[in-house]
Amino acid sequence: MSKENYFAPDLIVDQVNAQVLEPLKKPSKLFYVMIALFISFILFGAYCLYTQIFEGLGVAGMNNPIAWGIYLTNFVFWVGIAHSGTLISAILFLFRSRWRTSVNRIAEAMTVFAVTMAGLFPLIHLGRIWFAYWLLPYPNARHLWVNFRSPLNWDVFAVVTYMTVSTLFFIVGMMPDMAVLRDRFKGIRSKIYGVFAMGWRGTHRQWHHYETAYLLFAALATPLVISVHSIVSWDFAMSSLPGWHSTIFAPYFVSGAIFSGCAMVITILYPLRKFFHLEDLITEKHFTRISQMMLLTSLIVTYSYLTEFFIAWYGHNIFEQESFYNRAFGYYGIYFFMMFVFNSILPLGIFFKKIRTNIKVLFVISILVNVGMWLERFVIIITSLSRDYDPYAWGIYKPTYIEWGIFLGSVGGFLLLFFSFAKFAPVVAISEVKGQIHHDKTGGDHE
Amino acid sequence: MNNLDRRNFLKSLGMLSLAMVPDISRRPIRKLFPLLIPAEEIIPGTPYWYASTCCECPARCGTMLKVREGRVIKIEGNPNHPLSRGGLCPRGQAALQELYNVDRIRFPFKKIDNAPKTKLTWDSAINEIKELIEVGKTLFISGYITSIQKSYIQTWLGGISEAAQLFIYEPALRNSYYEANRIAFGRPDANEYHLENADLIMDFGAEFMETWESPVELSHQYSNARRVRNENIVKLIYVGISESLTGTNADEEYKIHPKTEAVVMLSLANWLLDNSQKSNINDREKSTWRRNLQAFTLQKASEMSGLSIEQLTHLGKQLDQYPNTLILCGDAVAAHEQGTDSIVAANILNYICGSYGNTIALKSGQPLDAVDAPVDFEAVIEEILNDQISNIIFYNTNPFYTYPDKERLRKALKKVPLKIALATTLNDTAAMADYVLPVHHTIETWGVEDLGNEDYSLVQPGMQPVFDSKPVEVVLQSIRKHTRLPNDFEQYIENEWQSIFNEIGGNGSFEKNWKEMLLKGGVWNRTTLQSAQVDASQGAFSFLQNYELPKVSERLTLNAHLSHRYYDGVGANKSWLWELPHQLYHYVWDVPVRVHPNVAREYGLAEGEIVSLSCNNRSIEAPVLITDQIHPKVIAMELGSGHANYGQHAVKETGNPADLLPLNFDRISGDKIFLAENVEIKKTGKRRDLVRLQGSYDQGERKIVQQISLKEVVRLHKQGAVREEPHAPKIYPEHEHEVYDWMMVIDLSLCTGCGACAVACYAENAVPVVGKQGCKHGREMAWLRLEKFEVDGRYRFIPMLCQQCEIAPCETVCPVYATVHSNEGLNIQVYNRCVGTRYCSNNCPYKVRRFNYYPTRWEEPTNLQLNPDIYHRPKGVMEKCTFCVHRLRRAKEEAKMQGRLVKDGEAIPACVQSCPTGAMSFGNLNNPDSRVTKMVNNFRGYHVFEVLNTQPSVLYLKNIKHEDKG
Repeated sequence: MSKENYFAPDLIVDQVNAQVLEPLKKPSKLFYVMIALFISFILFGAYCLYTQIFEGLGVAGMNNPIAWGIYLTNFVFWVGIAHSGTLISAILFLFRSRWRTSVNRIAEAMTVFAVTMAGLFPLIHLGRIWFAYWLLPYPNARHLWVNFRSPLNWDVFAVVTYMTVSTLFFIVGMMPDMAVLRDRFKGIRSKIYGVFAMGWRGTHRQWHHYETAYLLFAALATPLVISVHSIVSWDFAMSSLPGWHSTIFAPYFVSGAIFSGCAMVITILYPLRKFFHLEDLITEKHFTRISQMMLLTSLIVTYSYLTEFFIAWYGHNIFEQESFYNRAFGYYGIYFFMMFVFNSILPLGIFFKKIRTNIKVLFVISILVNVGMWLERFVIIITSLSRDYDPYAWGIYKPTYIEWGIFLGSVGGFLLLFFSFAKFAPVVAISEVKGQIHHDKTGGDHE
Repeated sequence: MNNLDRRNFLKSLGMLSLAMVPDISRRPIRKLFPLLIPAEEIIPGTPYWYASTCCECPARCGTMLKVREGRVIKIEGNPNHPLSRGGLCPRGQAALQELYNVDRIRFPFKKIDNAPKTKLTWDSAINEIKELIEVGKTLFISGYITSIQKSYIQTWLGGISEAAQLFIYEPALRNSYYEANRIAFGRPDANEYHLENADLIMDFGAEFMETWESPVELSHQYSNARRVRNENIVKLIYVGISESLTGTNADEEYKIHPKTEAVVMLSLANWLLDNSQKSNINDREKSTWRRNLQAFTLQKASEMSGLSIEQLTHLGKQLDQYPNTLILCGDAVAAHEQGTDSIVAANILNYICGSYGNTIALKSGQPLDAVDAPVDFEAVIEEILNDQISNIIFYNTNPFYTYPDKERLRKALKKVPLKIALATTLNDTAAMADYVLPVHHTIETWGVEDLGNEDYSLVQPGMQPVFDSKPVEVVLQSIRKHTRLPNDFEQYIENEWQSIFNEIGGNGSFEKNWKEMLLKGGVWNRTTLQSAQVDASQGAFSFLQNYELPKVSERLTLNAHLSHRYYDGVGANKSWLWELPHQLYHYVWDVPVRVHPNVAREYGLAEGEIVSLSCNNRSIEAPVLITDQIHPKVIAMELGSGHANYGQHAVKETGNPADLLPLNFDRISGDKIFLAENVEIKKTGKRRDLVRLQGSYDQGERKIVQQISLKEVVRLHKQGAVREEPHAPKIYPEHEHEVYDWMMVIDLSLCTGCGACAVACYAENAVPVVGKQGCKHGREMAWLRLEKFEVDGRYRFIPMLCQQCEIAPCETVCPVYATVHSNEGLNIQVYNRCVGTRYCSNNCPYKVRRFNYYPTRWEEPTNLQLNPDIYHRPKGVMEKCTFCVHRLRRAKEEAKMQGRLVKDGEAIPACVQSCPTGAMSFGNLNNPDSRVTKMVNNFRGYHVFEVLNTQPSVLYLKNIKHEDKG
C-alpha cells in the first residue's frame, strides 16, 4: 500500500526550518494591532469580572430556576475545544496516524490555552470567588472537608489533572524544537528557549528517552480525553433535572467535545496557514482528515440528540417530555434548531468530496459548528433549567453584557496566548515533520 | 507616674473605657402600670411578648408583639383572642413595616404652600400652632380609630369650640349592614357570623378571606366548617362580578351582571317559598311573603343577571338541600347605590332559609362601627368651600387617595388657613398639610378597642417610640389644654380601663385583673351565639313593596375593590405586601386592570399593554391583565396603586382606580361606591410588562396539588385506611433521628392561599425584599410561596417551602458540604461555608432555594425589625427555609433547662404559627402524641414529586373536593 504524502510534493527537509521559523521574525504592524485588540478584550472582561465581584452576581443574568448561565456554557465549550489537541497528539499518535504530524503542535497549544480559559469559568460563576480554594481538599484545623459525592468536586480534579498532563505533554513535545530555537537565537531569547529545551543536544540517547517519554505521556493523556469530558457531563447527568439526568451524557459529551475541538482546529488552522505561509506543511489533506473526524463525531452527536428525544417520548416521564418539548418548541426553541442545523445537518456535507477538499467551505462549516456546539451547551444547560419540575418556578434567562464581556475576555485571552505562542514558538513540530518527510522520501517505514 | 506598670495601665484603661461607654440603651418605658417583668430582670437575648391589638384594618384582631432588646421584631396573632385565635393576616403582620418605615416622619415640620420644608422642634411647632388655631371652626378628620381615642378626641374638640367636629372618614367601612338590619328587622345592629355552623355558604361578593369584615376570624370559622364532621364539609358557592381569593376557594363560582345580586337573591327567596319545605316561615305568613316576592321570578333574575334558569334553579335547590345555610353579601358586589338593598335581600334570604340564630345573628347593644357616612363628607367639603372651616387636623386617614375628585378636594383645602397632619408616615393627605407632627404608631402607644358584646381589646405598646413622636392625645392636649382631660395621657388610659373594669364587673382587685388583662390582651366573653330571634315581617315587606330594580349598564363597569394586600391603599407603603405575589395572578409591584378576554378582543389588548380608563370625566392609566375568571361586562382593579405621595414603596406609574369612582353614594347608608359604570377603555400604545412570579398554572400530570372527593374520604375513613410510605431503594445510609424528627403537615383542604405564612416568613427570617427589578429577573427571595394550580377545573393553593428532604438532592451535589442533614431531620444550610456554586438550587425539584445575587442593604430604621436570632446572609450565598431552626432551638433550650423534651406545639415555625385557618401543623415525629404523628398516616397524605424519592419532611394532605349528596 503506497503511503499518502501529506506535505507539498516538492518540500524537502532543508526547507522545513526556514518555513516553520519564518513567523518568529520581527512582527508586523498587524500583529501589534491584533495583540492590542485581544488585550482590550481581556481588559473589558476583567472590568466585567471586577464589577461582578464587587456588586454581586446579580449583574449577570442568572435567576432562580436558571442558576447556571453562560458561564457554565463557556466552561463546557472551552473544555470541549481542549479535547482535540490531546486527541490529535496522543490518540492519533498511538494509532500512528501520520497526518497528525504538522497539526499536532497547534492542536496541543489550543488544548492548553482552551483548558486554561475553561478552568476560569467555574471560578467566575461562584457566588463567593474569594473562597474558591474551599473546593480543594486541604488539611485544616476546622476539619472541613470537601464532599466527594459532588460531581463539581470530581470536576475540580478532572480539569486540574487534564490541565497538568496536557501542559506537560505540550512542553515535552516541544523540547527538540526548542533546542533548534536556542541555537538559532542569541542572548536572552536563546536563554529562555534553552530553559524549555532542557539541555537538549539531540544525542541518540536523548532521542531514545524522549521517544519513550512521549509515548508514555500519550498513553497517560489518552484516558484523560475520555475521562475529563465524561466528568464534565456528569455535572449534569448526576443531577435530578429532566434534560440533564441521562446515562448517555458521557459518550455524548466526549464526542461533542472532539467534534467541537476538531472544528476549532480548522478554524484556527485556516488563517494561521495563510498568515504564516505554511501551505507546504499544512495541506488540504490535513483539512480533509480533520473534517472526517468532525463528520464521525457529528454523526455520534446527532445520534445522541435523537436518542434523547426518543427516550423522552418512549420513557413516558412527564417531566422529561415537558423538558424536551420545551427544548424544541419553547422560548429557546430557535437555538435548538440552530444547533441542530449547525451540528447535524451542515457536517453531512463532508460526505461529499468536493466539500471536504474545499478548505474555504470547511472553514465556514467549522465556524458554524463552533457556534452550534456553544449553542448545544447553552440549550442543554439553560432550557433544561428554565422548565423543570415545578411550573411555578419556570423562568427565562437572558445573559447580560457582563457575561458576554467575560466571554469576550476569555476569547481575547485564548487568542492572545495563541498569537504569542505562534510568535515565539514553532507552530509545527519541526523534528517530527523532518522525520516524516525523510520517511516519505526514502520510503522507510517502521510501522 | 513611675509606678504605673503595664498591669495598672491596662486596669485604668479598662475603667476609663467603661466609664466612657455611652448609655446605649434607651431609657426604659415609663410604664403606665407596673411592668410585668421588672426592667432589671429583662434578659438580653430573650424575647418578651406583649398582647396588643392590630389596627391595620377595622377588624381589630388581637396580636402578640414579640420584643427583643426593647424592639418589636414580629407581630403574631394572639392565640387567646376571639378574633385572631393565633392567626394574623398579611396586612396585620406588615404593620411592622409602618412602624419601621423608611419614610417614617422623624421630626415635626412645617411646609406652607410652596415654601421649602422647615424642620421644627416640638415646642416651636406647638407654639406656632397654638397661635394659629385660636380662631374659627376646627375640623378633625380621622380614619377608623380605637373607641377610646375617639371619645378623647371628641372631648378635646368640645373644649376648642362648640362647632368643632370630628369626622371619621373610613370609606372602606360600610354602614349598610346596620341600615339593612334596621330596614329588615328594625334593629340597627351589626351582624355576627358563625360560618362554622354552616354547611352551605352562598357568598355574594363577601371577600371574607381577604378584606370583608373580619377576615382572620371568618377564615378560621370557615376552616372549622371545612374539616370533615358528620361525613360532611361546608360548601361554598360564590356569586360575584369579578374574581377574588374567596371566589377561587369556592366550590362553585358564578359571575353575574353588576348590580343584579339583589334580584338574584330575591328570586331565590321566591323560588324557595314555592319549592322548599325548609323555610322557617309559617303558612300564614307565606302568602304575604309570596305576594311581596312574586315580582322576583327566576325568569327576571336570569334576564338581568345573565345566569341561566337552570343555574338559578340549581342555586335554589342548593339552599333547599342543605339544612344550615348562610348567605353573605359583601362590598365586592354591593358597593353601589343600591348596595343596602342587596344586603336587605341577603337578610331576607337568610331569614327565609332560617339562618338567624344558627349561622348568623345580630349583635346586641349599640352599633359598634360608628363611622361617618362618606356621603356626609360631601357636606364637609361644601362647608370648607364656603369658608366655614379655619382649622383641619388630619389623622390616620387618606382622603386624597380614596376620594375620587382630587381637584375638588384640593380646591377646598386651599381655603383652609391651617392644616395640621398627625401622621406616622407622610401620605397623600398629610403631604398637603402646613404642619406635620409625627405621632406614635399603635405599636408605640396605648389604647382600648370596643369589640361590642362587652368585649374589649387592649392596645399595648411594645416598645419605646422609634423616632421623636408623641401620642395623638398628648399632642392635642399640648396644643390646647382641655380641663376635663387629665394632663397625663397615661392617667387617662388608666381611668378608662378602670371604668371598663367597673362596667364588666370583674372580680377581685383592679390591679390583679389588670395584670391578667395585660397578659391576655383584653377582656372578652364572646362564646355564645346571640340566639335572639329576629322578625322580618314588617320591615321586609315594605322594603319589597318599594323596591326599585337597579338600572344596569350594558357597558363596562369598573370594580375598584379593596385589595387583599393594600386594603384601601393603606398597605401600599409596605414592601412585604408589594413583594407578596397577588394570590390569583402572582403579579408584584404593580396593579393591573383585569379584563375579560372578550373585552381584550374588542379593544385589541394584550397583557402588559397600558390602557387609559376614563369615567366621570377623570382618567387613569393601568397595564392590562386578561383573565377569563371575570364577568365580561366588568373590569376590575384593586386599590393600592397611584399614590401621589406615599413613600418610596408606593407604585406611582399606575393610576389610582379610586379616581374613576362616582361622587354619588349608597342611597340608604351613604356608603362609598366602588363600582364605576360606563368606563371607557382607550389604548395608549405604551407597554409595561407585568412581573408575574408563577410560570404556569397548568400542572398537567405533575400531581403537585392533589384532590380527593368527599365521598372517597368518607369511604376510606370508614375502612380505616392509612397512608403507606412508599418504599424505595436508598443508596446512602439512612439518617438517624434519635430525639427529634421534625415534620410539617399541610392540609390543602384548609389552605385558602391568603399568604399570611409568606409574610410571617419575611418578618421572622429577615428575608430580603428585592423590588420590581429583582422580581422581574426571577430573584425574589421568598422562602415560602403560594402556588396556584388547576385541579378538576378549579384552582387550589399549595404553600411551597423547603421540603427538608430525607434524601435531599441538594446535599449530594454541594462540593463543600454547605448543605447537610441534621440529626433532627432538617436540611441545614451553612451560610458561612457556602461558596455559591448554586448547584443545589439546580438540583432542587421544588426550586425553593434562594441565592443572594446582591448584598442586602437594610435602610434605617428597617434594620431595627430584623430578628437578632437570624444570621444575615451576605451576597453570593444560598439560603432557604430552615423550618425556623432558631425557634426550634429556643424551644429545645427552654425544655433542656427544665430537663425534658419539647412538648408538642412549643416549637413551631413562623408560617405555621401565622396560619389563620390552622392548615399547617408542625411537630416531632418521634413524639407519639404530637399532632403530626397522628396526621402522618392520614390516607390523604402525599408528598409532592413522590416519584423522585426525595422523602420530604413536608407532608401534604389532599384537598377535599366537596360533593353534593345524592
